[in-house]
Amino acid sequence: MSNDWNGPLERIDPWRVRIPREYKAGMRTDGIIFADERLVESIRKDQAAEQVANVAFLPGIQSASLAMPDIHWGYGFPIGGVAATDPAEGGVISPGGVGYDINCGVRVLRTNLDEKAVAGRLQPLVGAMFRDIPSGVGATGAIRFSDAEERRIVAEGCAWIVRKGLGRPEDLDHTESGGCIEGADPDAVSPRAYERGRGQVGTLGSGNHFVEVQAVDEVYDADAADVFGLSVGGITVMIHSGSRGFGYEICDNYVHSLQGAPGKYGIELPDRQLVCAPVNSNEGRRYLAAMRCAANYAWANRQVLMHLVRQVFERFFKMSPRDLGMDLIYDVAHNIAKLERHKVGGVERTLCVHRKGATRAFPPGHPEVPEVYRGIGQPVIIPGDMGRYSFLLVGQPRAMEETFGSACHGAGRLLSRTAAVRAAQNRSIRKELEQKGIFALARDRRGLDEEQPAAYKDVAVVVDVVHGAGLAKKVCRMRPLCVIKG
Amino acid sequence: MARAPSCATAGRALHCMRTMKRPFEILEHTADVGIRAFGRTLPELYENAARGMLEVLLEPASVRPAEEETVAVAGTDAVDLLVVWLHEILLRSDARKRAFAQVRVSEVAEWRLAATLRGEPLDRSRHELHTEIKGVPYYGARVERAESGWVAEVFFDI
Repeated sequence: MSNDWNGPLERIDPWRVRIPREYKAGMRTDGIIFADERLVESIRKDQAAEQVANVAFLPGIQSASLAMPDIHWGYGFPIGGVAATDPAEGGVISPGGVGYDINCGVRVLRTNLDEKAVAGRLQPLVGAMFRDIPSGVGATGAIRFSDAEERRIVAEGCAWIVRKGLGRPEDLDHTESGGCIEGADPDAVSPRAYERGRGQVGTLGSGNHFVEVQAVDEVYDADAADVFGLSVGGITVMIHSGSRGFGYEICDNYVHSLQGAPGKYGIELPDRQLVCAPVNSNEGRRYLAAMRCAANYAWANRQVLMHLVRQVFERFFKMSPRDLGMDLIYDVAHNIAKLERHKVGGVERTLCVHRKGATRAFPPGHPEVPEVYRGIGQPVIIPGDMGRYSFLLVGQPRAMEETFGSACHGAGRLLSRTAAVRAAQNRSIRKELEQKGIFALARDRRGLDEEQPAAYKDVAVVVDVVHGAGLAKKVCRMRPLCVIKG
Repeated sequence: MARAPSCATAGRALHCMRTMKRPFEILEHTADVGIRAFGRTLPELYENAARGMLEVLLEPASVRPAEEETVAVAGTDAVDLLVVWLHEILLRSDARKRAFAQVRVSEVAEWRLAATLRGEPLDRSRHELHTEIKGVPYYGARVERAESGWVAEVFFDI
């Protein structure tokens, strides 16, 4: 299955290639992948491009089946896939277009600390984070919520967490959708999903989820960096996690329960994992209501994780919250489907935008961008690997014109997990990182081996495409100092 | 492509020697991981697929097979049954905080499967846990007749 893909990739401009609609009978639009020549080579190494073509089968799809430059092989949708459907034209919603980890996302905080303040203290700091932030398989939250409280969380998201005192009101303004999508229906969620998610609010998970302390090492847009309170040498903290077992189970439940929907609605699909239902059908509405519960759960999860990070820093540095200045810059979802207003052919319509491993990137002036950022655009947070760097960008107008307000979400894997473990044989990834001044802790050796820097593409190459194509503009780059992995 | 198979238990080792066929092997995927399982019969196939998934989740040798529980699941076809069956084990591991060391599929008939799992409550201090599996997608899942029985492939979202 991991054979090379030899289908047509026609170059449109330096930043985009096209899979023409004629490639495969059943495609309703072209596929468009944002990639320069450097990236095309790695894209051809798996079946991700075929998945871009498959997504073009979805009824009601608008413009093109899109993929961001960090595209890689997923299930149904490629990771990095963006597809917008028009409910008024029978447009569908597909659980596979959101993925198992509903509202997996990332948030970044600024601090008043600089590199000098943390120098020589990174090892005990990462130890304190590892001790106090629940991570890895089977972990349960440090702060327990009752079943009734977890139902409030899925309906109300971050706002409920903040009301409980685990955050500040201004955190909500700096979270996509204010940390809660309306229309979440707790009754659309199965008892099994509640069971699987129980006790997991405020847990990091495993795989590629992390909390990372970083230092700003390059600033590209001083004015925007100033708005974020960032300058070279400043310390930031990045948190990457999602909706935990709760979201995984909701995805699974609906991928199963929707298996009959394509037949019922006369939808032909090339892949069973792409199952979908019209947005305006009972099945579609019910999935959307359940997915929103998981989205709210994920925002609550990252909010609690951030609260734990703030507590660790306050204790470790013996500083007050005011002196630490750990303000949330922004929180973005990168696995989600949302109803949004977009212009297609000059006409504004409400579309169902699937972002499967893609980040919303709304431009300056957009009403959903917090007022404080409205002059510069929505923050777009792009984590890289734990050995090189991550980026902070802001959304640009071209994103609204070309990608339904979307940009990339990360580096994208280069090596499979098994290949990464093989490549780490007779080596210590932890020690190699330490030699670069980066302290990393994970539950077991394999976690670090699988997530080693060489397992990922260079995120700078991915970000250059997004920047060059005008989807989002680079603001600054952050270098990792210490990281905990699940 | 494949890593060394597990023939950890005496029964499995004997079986491996007898059939000269590995119970399962690990498949590569850019972001995740999959397994290819073999079986002379359908129950053996589904059993070996489950065994492969357990080894992705944890080191079965670190788990005591102290308690037994039964499983009965149904699918609409061979692939659906594979996905439903593996998801059931995942759910029991994840939601009910169980660790499983052994699996035995006693029957597969008309895409209904009966099995027993042996394990104990999850103990993070003692069990060697590898990774969390988020889900068992249909994408790439297949069950086919092979020269000397059956072969199945399935990927896991990690």
